[in-house]
Amino acid sequence: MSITKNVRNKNLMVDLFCVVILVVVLVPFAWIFISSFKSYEAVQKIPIEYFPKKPTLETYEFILFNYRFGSWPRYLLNSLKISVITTVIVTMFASLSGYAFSRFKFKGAASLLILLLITQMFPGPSILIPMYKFICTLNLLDTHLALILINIAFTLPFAVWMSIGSYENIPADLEEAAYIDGCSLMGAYWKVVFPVSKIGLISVALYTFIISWAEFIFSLVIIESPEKMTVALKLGSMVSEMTVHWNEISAATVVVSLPLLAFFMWAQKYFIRGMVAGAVKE
Amino acid sequence: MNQSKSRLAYLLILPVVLYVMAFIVYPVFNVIQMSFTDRLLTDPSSGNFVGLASYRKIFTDPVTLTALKNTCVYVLGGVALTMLLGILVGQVLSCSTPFTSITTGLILIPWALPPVIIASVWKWMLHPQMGIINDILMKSRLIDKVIPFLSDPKKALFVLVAVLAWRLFPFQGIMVSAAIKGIPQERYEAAMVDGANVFQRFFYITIPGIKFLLMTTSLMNTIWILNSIALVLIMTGGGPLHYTELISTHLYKTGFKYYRFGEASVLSVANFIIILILSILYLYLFRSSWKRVVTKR
Repeated sequence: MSITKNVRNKNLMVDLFCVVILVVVLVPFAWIFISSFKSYEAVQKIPIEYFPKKPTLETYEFILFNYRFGSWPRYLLNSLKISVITTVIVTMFASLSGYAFSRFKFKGAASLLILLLITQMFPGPSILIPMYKFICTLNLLDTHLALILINIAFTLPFAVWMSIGSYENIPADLEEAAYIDGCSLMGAYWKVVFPVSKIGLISVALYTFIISWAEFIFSLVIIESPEKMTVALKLGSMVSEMTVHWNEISAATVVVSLPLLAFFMWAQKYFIRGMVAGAVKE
Repeated sequence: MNQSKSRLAYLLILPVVLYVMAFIVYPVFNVIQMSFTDRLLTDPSSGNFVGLASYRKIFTDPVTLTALKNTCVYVLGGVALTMLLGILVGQVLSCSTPFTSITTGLILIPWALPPVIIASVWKWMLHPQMGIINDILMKSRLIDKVIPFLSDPKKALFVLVAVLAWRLFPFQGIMVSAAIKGIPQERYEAAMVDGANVFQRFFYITIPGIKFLLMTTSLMNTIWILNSIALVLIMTGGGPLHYTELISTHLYKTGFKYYRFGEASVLSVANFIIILILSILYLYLFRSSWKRVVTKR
């Protein structure tokens, strides 16, 4: 057997395997997407009607314009507000402190980094109880500010680590040159380092956005007013209802995923690079 | 210059450190302290020091013991299955064909979407009557009676582990493929010259080359699994009859259904301890890789 034929066979195997992986990963989303064009009667049908005989946009129309309990545009705005504010704040502070950690030698840097690494282990249900109490004390129950504060706390430690990784890839000579040309420390940061580190910061922003958009359990205990719900919280409550309207859930899922997928598709190239740099580098 | 530099560094880092102290370190200490009290959310006069009473109550509760066992199965099963699938997928994706890069781009989607969505999609697909999985299995005559995936006590936990691995394996695979691409090609060529077969090359070159990555990602996965509650809460809610109850769901119910904050705090502490033990376990298992990294610095 010739070498080229061998290589071609191997590539064929690889491509076949890729198809299997894609099917396993994407079928659930394809199912949701298809079902979002069905009516309630169509999703209730047994035996299952795989492709809608009469594709309809009525579920989208219903979700977006005349939803029974509350309003989806409102939930989307709520989630967008919380996630965008969280992302801007986290990216800003993570980039500044990541810069400090990667460029300046100072006492205690190592122990502070370890502190950040350890705090990364605690978010989630383990501090649900004390966080709830804390939010009560701050008088922030049933506010979006509470969710923003919590999301910042949960994403900041890892965001700092990610941004350190992105600065490590930028040669320090760049700023030295700026100093020589008469830039101040912060001047060098804004004019020289910040533009180059954009790629790293995009991945920090994407990470933060994904986590804030998905946050569920803290919203569940903190938000009480129906009009203040986030999209994740609303979806969760729809699935737990007595009669589940799967067509509505499908359409809502598509609507909820779109902003995320748009951001993700645009930024993922940078993102994979950023995550890999953090975890692979020895 | 140097002094002003380090002053600036502290200034840049201070907000982050203060924030983390207030919103993570303080709550952690707070919950440890609360675990020694009889705090009830509904009763403001509660919160008296009761020593280990809550601990005794929680750890003699059979539900806690089930939850502890389930959590171990869920975490270790999820991490192991993710790692196996990740290595397999990573091997494939590390071969460069035009199709592998498209695949890499598309398979990260489940990782980006909220767990709530993943939970609801799978809950529907696994449904005995309305779900497509049972329907397809029935139509292809692989089974002759529908399987109640999420309400069968013997299967539910393992089904959850499978969904968990489904959520985590694409990302793991992409990381592994990046690490495999980082292994110098000469090592493989030298091994082939020496007559090493595929398995030998895999076990003596690939695995050592990705060991460090496997450790970091397993640690990340463990923490993610222990801290993500939405998947189980929505798919089974801990049922049927506590068969899929985890420490985290038990904690949520104790705290926010029965308002027993003191007892729920004990479960928080248990969760911390599990994270700590597992972290130490990973660091020990992969000690040769991180020691090399640490000494290099």
